[in-house]
Amino acid sequence: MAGRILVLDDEENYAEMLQDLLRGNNFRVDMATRPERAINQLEEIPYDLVISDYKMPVMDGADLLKRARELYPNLPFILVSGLMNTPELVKVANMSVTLVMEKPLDTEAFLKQVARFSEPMTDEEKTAQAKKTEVSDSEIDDVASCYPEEPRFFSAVSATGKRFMQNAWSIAQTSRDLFILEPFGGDAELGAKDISAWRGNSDLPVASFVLPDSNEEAILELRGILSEQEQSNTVCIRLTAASQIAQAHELTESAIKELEGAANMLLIYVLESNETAPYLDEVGPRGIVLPALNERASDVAAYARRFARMASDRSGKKNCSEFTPEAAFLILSHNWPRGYKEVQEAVMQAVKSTENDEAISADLLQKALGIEAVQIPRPDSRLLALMSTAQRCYFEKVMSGSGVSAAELGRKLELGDAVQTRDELINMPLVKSELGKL
Amino acid sequence: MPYSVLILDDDADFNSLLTDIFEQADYAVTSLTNPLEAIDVFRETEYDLVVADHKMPEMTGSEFMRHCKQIRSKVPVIMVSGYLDNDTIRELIREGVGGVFLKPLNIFSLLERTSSLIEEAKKLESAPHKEQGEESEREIDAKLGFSFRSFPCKSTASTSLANRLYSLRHFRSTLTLIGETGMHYRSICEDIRGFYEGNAEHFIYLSPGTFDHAQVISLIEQAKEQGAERVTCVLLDFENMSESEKKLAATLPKGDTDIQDLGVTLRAIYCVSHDLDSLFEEGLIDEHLYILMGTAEVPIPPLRDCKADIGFMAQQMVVDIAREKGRPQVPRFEKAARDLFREQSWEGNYEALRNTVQKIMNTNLGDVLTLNIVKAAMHGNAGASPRARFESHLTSRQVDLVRAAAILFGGDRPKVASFFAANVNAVASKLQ
Repeated sequence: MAGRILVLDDEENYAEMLQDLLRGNNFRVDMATRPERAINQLEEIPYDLVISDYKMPVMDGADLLKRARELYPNLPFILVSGLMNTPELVKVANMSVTLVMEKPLDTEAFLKQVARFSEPMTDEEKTAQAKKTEVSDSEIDDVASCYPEEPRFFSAVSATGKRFMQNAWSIAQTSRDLFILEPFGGDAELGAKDISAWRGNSDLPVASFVLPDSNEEAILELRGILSEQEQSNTVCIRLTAASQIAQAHELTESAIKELEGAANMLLIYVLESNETAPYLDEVGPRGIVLPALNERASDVAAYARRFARMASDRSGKKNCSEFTPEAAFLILSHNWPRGYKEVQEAVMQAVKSTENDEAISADLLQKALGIEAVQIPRPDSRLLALMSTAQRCYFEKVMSGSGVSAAELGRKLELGDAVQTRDELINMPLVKSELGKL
Repeated sequence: MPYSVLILDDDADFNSLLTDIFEQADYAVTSLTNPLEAIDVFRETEYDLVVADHKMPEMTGSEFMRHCKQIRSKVPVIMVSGYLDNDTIRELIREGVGGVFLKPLNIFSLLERTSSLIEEAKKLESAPHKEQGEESEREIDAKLGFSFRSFPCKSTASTSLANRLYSLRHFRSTLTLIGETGMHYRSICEDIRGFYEGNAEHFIYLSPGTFDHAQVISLIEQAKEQGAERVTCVLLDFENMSESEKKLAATLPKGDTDIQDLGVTLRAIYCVSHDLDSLFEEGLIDEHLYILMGTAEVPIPPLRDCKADIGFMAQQMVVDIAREKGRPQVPRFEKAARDLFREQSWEGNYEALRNTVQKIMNTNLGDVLTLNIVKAAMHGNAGASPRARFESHLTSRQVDLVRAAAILFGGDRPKVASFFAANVNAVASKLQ
């Protein structure tokens, strides 16, 4: 898959021009106009290449380069700038800048250089992109189900993760609030950041606060955020208990009545709870459930890889962005009860605690997770083990979600009469046994 | 062991100053004054870093650096000079200079830069090489080099099918295509026909209950009138043919005496939906046919093994149907809808996909076919019994696990394969 490029220029027009030029040549591009904010973006997203202006207020290209080098010693970094004097050029040369190009830009040479560091999108990725533009150009009611570009923060590689973001986006486009019921340590806030960007806030920070006891206080807080030019009009509000759902509904209504700028706002209420089913009715049609990570193996993998790459780039231990097969099995088989945050903590901790510059081992990961040593199956029985767990998760989820008994579920799923008790059901060998092998 | 540094400066005074600085800092120094000699020495000896003056009579520092980079690109080069214009500095950066220092030298920062460059270079040396990613498949697509319409060939399985059929196009008498039910054998055979130019090759298509000896003769005669020198009989849905049809079909690779009298060469392609062993066991083919059909078997991959093709196939069907119906605009699937197509297992293969698309086109007149439209059409199709939902959940979890492993191993498919003790092709087909 094509990697991403970050384009940074305090002159918005110029940044847009570069973005258009690169997109026109099939590169995947994010744009930023503030280096101090771009740093945050760099911390969260592994980029292939950064293209930055030199002269900017607050932080110049050299400052940004320095920070970027601290995070990622080998990140390709191109400065595109107007006049730079000799001391400035010498300075960036000694900070391992990858390339310095002068404005006005020789586009052909520029594109050739960019192609050295980032892969353009494949035909398939490109058609998908093109189709999106077509859709948004012609006004069609049902564009809701397809989001404008791949999320940057939230990992939606899995079909489950994709569906979640599609649903979230379709609600976000037509209403002023959205309820997300997330499991413990969920990544809903990352999704909120992507939705904010899709709603045209580019890289403005997304404010997040805990819903206070009174809605007057909440309105005050919101007023402050929405009147602030430097904040996204998408706001994340955390509920601490399900009993706050009704209050949240009221808050949206009051905000629409009382607040200037409410017409463009989106309030994303996030409730952290492992018991989502009972609350779905309460949150109403604008509510969605963020599936737990144990149903999103490829998203877990993408996060694990992202954090490993970050941690290893930062520590300069280049090989620590890799996993041993045993560690990979552990990542795929672990239940991640503390969610996305657990992935982040465990992987970063594992990289930090390696003494040698080598792939992350299962041992280190187990220590970072604070769990007992896990028996790692032999390669030929790994898929069967993982799929059996997946099957068990499915049974448990359906039973807890619908309240059907094990025997009844067994009958519905045509599993034969032998299945009577819960234990018999969840310990069943893999029903489609061929899925245990590749 | 101390790190080694090559110093090149034609100015003897300055050269010895640099040499002193680096020796004091515990580097093993080779100091030279002639760039041509320095290139030879650099070629023969491993250095950890090079420090060069930019202004020398034989060649500039930039040129010298270019030579060094050609020999060993990873060794950092620091340029030292009394004066450099901005264009030169930019050029040096582009060529990958490690550092630039102007006189008067700041010795402290020169040494600091030296040690951090060496450190970085050492780290890079031990880093693994970047993976090649998925490039190869796209290259294969481009290299197909002949026309093939029945599969878009975006996946490995369909690409190798296309290549296999192309390589077998000169088969002498029989070819057997074996796939699952619902495959589009006719289109596949039309592709085979497309491998030949001119009018000398004719294909006639025979389905169960539609032909007898006299009709075959008349079809061959017609072909001959149109200039056929060789006729290939394609027997569609072969296992469901009647006994007499099968008997006739068994003679077609050569033709009986009546047919031979027509004076054209004959061949036959048998299309079946089960492997020959089970057809034989079930008594659907006799020993003679079993041997005849076994001479050249080509497996047709089921749709679920060609995931990358499915979206394109569906879009192509939309194009065809829109043309049939004379609709001015060709509708397009949005990405999410195409993703949904890919996720399905398509037990009924091409036919099932075609039915779904047909249904969508019958009921939707818009220009964009959305996820919801496709979902609605599929729901009716699959019937979505609890059992079916459960199985499709498990199937998609399995694909997700393989994809997850691929991500964890940075896209290295052989690693994924050995992780699961599977073969690389099986992994590749899951990843599409």
